[in-house]
Amino acid sequence: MSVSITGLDQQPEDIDSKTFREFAKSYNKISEQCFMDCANDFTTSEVRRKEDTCINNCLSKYLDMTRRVAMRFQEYHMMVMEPGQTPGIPSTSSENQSNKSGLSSYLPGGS
Amino acid sequence: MMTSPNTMPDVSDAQMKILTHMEEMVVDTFNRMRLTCATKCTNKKFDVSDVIKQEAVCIDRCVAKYMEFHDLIGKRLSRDKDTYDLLSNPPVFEKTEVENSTSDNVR
Repeated sequence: MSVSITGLDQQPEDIDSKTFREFAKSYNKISEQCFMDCANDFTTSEVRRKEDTCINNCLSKYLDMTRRVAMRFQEYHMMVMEPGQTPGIPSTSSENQSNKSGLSSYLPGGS
Repeated sequence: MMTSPNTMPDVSDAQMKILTHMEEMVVDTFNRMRLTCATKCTNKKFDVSDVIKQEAVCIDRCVAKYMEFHDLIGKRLSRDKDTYDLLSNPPVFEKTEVENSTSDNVR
């Protein structure tokens, strides 16, 4: 019996449509976030130069942070995951049953 | 060859999905803009129930600004493929198949 972690049997079109959907979600979130933080002057409907710089900075920060978070997240899971364990789902092996305190059940040796 | 005016061009299922997602995206943009501009432009005194002229003007400008922000950000995000990949793929794990080697369940 084999378990695949990601949907390997998806059609290419499904994958494309999923990735677009994720992109669209992220795009809208960034848009809203950067607008909230950068647009403070409503005396004009035009985007001023200061706001333009702010958008650039907001974007690069957001993207850098996303990269960093993704990197650390993957590192963490590679470090603590037992082989055969599904990521994000606590192990159901008997050693970990007694120790149910959240994150510590992931760490080798427990608490 | 004349096609009847009532026939739709053939749209594959995959394309329909993407069109649906695009529509969802527009609705999402609208909702976020609505909340953001309401937050930014509402005069917090709340002494009248109607939108006063100052707030109305603010909302007009806010909508214009939001759409322009949205366009600018969209252009910058789609400039390189790396950014698109970063945002469209949440960190999923290595696509390895995991074999459950115990065959004890088979009787």
